[in-house]
Amino acid sequence: MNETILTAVPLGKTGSWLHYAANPGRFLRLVRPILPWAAAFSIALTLTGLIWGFAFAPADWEQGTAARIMYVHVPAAWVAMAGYAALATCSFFSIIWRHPLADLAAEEIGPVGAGFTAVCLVSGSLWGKPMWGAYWVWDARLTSVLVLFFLYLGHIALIRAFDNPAHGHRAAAILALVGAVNLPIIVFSVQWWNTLHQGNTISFSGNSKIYITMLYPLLIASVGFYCCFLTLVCARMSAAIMERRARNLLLAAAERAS
Amino acid sequence: MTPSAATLAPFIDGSYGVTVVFLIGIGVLTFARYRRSVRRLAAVETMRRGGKETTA
Repeated sequence: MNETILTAVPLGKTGSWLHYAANPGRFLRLVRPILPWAAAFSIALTLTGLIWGFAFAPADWEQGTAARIMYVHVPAAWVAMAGYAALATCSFFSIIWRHPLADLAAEEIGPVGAGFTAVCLVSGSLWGKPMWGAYWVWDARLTSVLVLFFLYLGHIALIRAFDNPAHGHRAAAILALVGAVNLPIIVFSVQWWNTLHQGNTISFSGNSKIYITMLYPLLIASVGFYCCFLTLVCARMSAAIMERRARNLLLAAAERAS
Repeated sequence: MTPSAATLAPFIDGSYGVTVVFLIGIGVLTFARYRRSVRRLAAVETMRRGGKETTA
């Protein structure tokens, strides 16, 4: 059985795509021409979703126009969680394969993800005041998202806390992997505990409780936010690669001169 | 009872405002960093080529 598997999947090819993708120069050549188009697409999609949600989406029968906050709050929450999942995946690649781009991606995902989490917390707080009568309650969903925000901040701080960047990347990768346990807690918190936060409205199994005229702007804003996140991370990674290359060239020139 | 639109307006405007300010802010900062790194790398490469030519 094992022999069959070994014959079918040659060992040398197991991580070949990883090594192919690990080249920062190749990443730069691939991403730089796409970035302006990706930025334009992200801006167009996000603007469409936000304007549709703010001005044209119908009011909710129970919450009235306060439901319009959903079109910024929900996409920000989804991107915050997906960003952390990406951070944990990069950390996994970094720890197992020492993938140089994974370290770089993790470093650049942190601040962007923390920003989206902050938007989620602030918009949720502004939604909570008129609906619950309080900006903040120590509810399972809210608290777990606050923990996610602190995990992002911890990652940002830890990755820059060491004189040797490799040590910082390794410590931050371990934090990111351990912190990934918070993701299922966020998702299932509204089912596991009695929370003030409402349950899941959208379900991929076909039992969504949202009307189609509200679903369209929400999906467009969400895809726009995801595209914004990807574009921002790719642009920051490209900038970081170019900064490192410039620094290395300067160091090499200084060494030659001395 | 559904709250009136006038009562809710500051909360809706505030949440959209925070989001738009964040998106514009991080977009501008990222674009500025990207352009700065492109220019810096181009300057360093020009300087290196210039140095090589001088040395040669």
